[in-house]
Amino acid sequence: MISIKEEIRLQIEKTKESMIDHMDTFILDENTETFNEFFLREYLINFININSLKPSDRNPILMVINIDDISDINARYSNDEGDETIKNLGYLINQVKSDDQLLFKRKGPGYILFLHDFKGKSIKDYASVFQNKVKSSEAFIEAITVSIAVVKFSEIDTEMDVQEKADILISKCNSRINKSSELYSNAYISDDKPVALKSLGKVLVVESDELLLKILKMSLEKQDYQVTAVSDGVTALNSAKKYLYDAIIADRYSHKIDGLRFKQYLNESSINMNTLFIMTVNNKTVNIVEKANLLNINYILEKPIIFEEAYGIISRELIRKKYSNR
Amino acid sequence: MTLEDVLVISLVLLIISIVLILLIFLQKKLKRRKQIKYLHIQELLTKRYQFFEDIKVNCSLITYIKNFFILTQRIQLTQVALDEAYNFFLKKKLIHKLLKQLNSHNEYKRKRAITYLSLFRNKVTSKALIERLSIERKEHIKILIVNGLKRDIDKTVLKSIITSLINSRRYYQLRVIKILKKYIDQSEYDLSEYFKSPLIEIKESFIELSMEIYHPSFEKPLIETLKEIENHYLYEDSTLLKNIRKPRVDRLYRQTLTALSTYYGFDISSNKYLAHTDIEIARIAANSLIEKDNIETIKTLASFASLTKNDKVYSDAINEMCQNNKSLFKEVYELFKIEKDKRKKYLLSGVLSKKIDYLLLIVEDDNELTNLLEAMINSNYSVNIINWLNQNKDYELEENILNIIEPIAEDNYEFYLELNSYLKKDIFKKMGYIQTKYPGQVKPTTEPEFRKFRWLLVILLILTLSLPTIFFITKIRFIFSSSITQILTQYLISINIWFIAYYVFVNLLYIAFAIIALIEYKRQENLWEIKSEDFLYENGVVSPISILVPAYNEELNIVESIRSLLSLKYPEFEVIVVNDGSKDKTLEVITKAFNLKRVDYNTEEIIHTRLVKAVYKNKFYSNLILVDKDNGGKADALNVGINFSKYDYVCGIDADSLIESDGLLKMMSSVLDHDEITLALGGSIVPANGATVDHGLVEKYEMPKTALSRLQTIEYLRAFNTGRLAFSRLKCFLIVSGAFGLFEKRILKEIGGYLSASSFKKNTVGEDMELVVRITKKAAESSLNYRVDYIPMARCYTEVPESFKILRSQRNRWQRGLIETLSFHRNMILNPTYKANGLFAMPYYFIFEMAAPMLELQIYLSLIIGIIFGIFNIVYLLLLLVATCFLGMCLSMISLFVQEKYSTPLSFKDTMILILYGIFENFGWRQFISMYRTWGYFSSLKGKHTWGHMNRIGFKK
Repeated sequence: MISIKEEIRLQIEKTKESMIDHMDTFILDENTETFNEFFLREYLINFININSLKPSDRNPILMVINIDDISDINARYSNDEGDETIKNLGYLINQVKSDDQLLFKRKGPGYILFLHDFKGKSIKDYASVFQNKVKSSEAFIEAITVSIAVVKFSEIDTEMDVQEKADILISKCNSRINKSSELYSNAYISDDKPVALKSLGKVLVVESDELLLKILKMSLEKQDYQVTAVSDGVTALNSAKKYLYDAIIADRYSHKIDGLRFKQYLNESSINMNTLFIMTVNNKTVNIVEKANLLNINYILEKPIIFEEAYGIISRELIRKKYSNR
Repeated sequence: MTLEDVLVISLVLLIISIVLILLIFLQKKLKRRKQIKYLHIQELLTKRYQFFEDIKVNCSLITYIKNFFILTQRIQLTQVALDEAYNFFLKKKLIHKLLKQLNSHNEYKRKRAITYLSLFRNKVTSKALIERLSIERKEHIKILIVNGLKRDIDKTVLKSIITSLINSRRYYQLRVIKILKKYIDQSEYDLSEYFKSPLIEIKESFIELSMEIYHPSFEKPLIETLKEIENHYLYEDSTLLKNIRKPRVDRLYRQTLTALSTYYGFDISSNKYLAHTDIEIARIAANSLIEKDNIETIKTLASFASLTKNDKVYSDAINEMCQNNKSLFKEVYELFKIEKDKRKKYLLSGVLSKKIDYLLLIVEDDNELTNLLEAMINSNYSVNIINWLNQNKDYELEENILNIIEPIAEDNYEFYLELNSYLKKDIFKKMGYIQTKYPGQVKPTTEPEFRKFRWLLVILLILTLSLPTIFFITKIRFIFSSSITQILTQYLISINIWFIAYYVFVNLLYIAFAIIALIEYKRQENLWEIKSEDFLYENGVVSPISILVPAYNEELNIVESIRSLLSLKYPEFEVIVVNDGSKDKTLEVITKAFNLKRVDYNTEEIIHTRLVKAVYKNKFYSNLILVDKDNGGKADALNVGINFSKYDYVCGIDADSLIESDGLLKMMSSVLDHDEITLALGGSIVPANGATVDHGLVEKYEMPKTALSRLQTIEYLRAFNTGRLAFSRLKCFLIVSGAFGLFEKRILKEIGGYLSASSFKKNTVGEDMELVVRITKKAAESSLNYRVDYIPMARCYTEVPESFKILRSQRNRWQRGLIETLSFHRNMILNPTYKANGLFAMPYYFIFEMAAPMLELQIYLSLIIGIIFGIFNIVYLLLLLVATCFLGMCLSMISLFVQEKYSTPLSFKDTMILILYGIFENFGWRQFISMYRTWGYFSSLKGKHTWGHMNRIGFKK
């Protein structure tokens, strides 16, 4: 005859065993079979523990990759299609990420990628690799975009206890990625500080025609803009890599690097990726508009330019920016 | 003639050369000053008319309006600014002058007046333009007037534009309709009355217009037209249609159906249209269903599957539906699963192959997946499966897919070969196979050319014996009464005299060419200056172009070349790179740089070529196509390009050349200055060994460092700036350089494309000249009103050989090419059917380019013999020197003057270098090149067909 106490002990053992058998249900996401956020928290605690015991020059980063248009897909197709999209995103991230990075499914429509030691030059550039891959992928029922938020371990107060650190990291991930919905699709959010502006706005003009370049510079300066005028795409790109601009006006046929390629490079770089981009063309065709859409070019202006149109676009953008920064 | 006479002639020629040199430098200075002045005026005009600053611009009226015109090309001025400018010109009486010039006999003056008057857009200018339009006969001028009136279309303007369509060519009609479509406010006018016109060209134009814009009043006349055409097909009873050719009726039928189905919901989904024998009608019918995007429509379209290439019509329509409504893909897949008919299954698999990445992730059942992949592979839609395998990292899924395709590969040898060529080595190995080298197609054979050999032999015999025979006939008495030494002396002197006459004639001919070229250059430049960008970039005004780039072992420069081509300033074009079986990494570097993916393709083989292995594309670079094919030579690669091209004009360029950013536009815009059909255009080739190139742009043009390249530079300048331009002006231009030449595709199709072993069982190393000769021959035989022109302002930079070995091989090839062309088309020589080409150009090339070097050999030999034996007349010898070198010097200086006047000016130092080389090239270099050409004749006689090797150093970066 087993005592009740013994029976309870056995029951507990059995339950434990069955729980171990079902462990996967707790730590894996049902749809994607990827580790979930719950597991991430435990994993982070262990990681911080181990790494705090030994001196480390590692640069661990959490990168949240979130689908922008999931509600659209759910509404247009079905929730199943939405789940499929999330699953296929996981597949795609696995195609791009390296083996020393671990993928977790977050509670929202996306993933958290744990970069144990990021050695690259710019995390923003690395994030844009994922964004571009997703944008151009055929693995989804329709083309989607993802916003990315990054949280560096170095941002966390070293005095906190381990569990608190893990919780703060996850909560930062969530708060940053949630910000993306207020911004725009394909957004990137990090701890970067915005650049202070001295003039009404900074505009980069790329135009290979000497006369038009002069006219645009003169006209914009008259409106109190700070203008950098360059005659070819290479010089423009060098400038755009160094300084943040409020607007860029580039000619479709600018020398050395044309307007489309220039924007393509900007999209892959860490700065001016989301700057208002106006492309000037001699004739606006469906082909050019399609390409411009793929590259997130905001406006296409036909030549001969109506200067007031360009000025109107830039000033409206600055007002919009001002309000969104509030 | 005495020694003094010779010295006087030399002195005169020397003075002429010095004057020319002075003119070159004066020209340089004036040009530089003009550039600075113009920029300053443009700035002042900007301040005056854009910012309304009170500024006075001091310059001549014509300079004022010229620069005002340039300003309006950059920014749109307000009507207030335009009115102010108009009043200024009115006050200065320029408007009055321009109105008068509208009716000038001189075409250029008329065009200039139209261009400038169009700037102001007021009642006076509109009225004048309308009046001119009503009496103008030249269509290229009429289109310019329509462009000038386009922004102010009212009833009167519309009526005059429509009236101008009567008796016009389709070329004109299409352009007018494109402009009307964009600028007409159709709600204001009842255009339907024009459908009732008894004039076919008006009807055609309005049906063309109805394809572009919607207007409720169009529907009824369109339906009536459709009935009329259909009845005409049955009973041939239409008074309007019975006098026009069937292809024109067919076109009208297609257009009417397109307009009706696109804008008026006219139902053409019945079998009558969907299964029409004219595949284009079937396509229009299938496309009309795209908006009804549901599975029932897809079932209807799939029911027309026939396992022929016509299936593409239906699969394209289904694919478009699925692109518009993505959820349909799943339904198509469900349909595919239950479908039993193999034809339908294959058609649907083609649609599903576009979404393979997605399907492979969602289909979990192995049997279903097997069915799907099997159908795709067997219907030749396997490209996406291989692409997916190459980029996938999910090894579990990969194993599954490999297990499915392995047995298919065993049964399907074509698919096995495809895997062998395109699947990654390690994945192929996982299937148990080892990659082997692609065996390639058997090379086509060429027919032996006995007739050419015989012809060349006879000519050689005639050339060798001609001089002694002439001597014998003219000096028969002297020969029989003199000693051998006397005969020999007299023979050498006679040769001297004949050659003096020959050289004087040739050099005077060249100088005449140079003067003609100067006039023609000026004419072309004037016409270019009054072409507004607004006009050139207007939709459909200049024809879109397919640029063909044959590439063989070009891994070093090809990416930069393509980038430079993709950035060309031209409204609409595509770039087709044809990798001609390169042995280096040409294919890999292109696919990597532009992230190109192999795609399925279905192209009609208009011209027979060697096997096309694969086609690569990228959605972003939608106007770039890379075609990979078996090696077959440049002509074969160009023919492949023609087969893949989608536009009416094709432009062949060398992979290692750089076209100036507006070169193509300058070339093609010349079409807008003529009413004749443009069949071929050639651009100018500029040696650029010393040029600094950055990102495909020639940043700095300098003289090359080596003497060999400098000598070739002056030679190119002479040939392109004078010779070719003069031939063009004389309407007998036959050498469109392979490095930069444009052709009308329709004529290329008619004549079977470039001459190659695959298409003609014949080969030539001078495919560029041969093609133009064949085109002009065909055009003349068909009595076409055509033009083949040279456009010197359209520049293309290329490297010239830097070593004697390569130069010899190049010149040898050029000479063989010329000889082959003359031999293939010898019946054109002196044949009046071919007009200037037959009576002037072909004999010219035969005498001065082919035969002359052989005769020159004789004079050099006779000179050497004469000098060795002391048998020469010093006066004749000096006269020969004057005729060859001094006259040649004058010619070089004129060429340099043309270069300075119309091209980018060189630095003072470089101009000096060119002048010196222009002088010295006459003392040995031209004779030296002549010897290379003689050698080319003998190579041709030997039947040599190889291209030789050009070692490129690459542009200075």
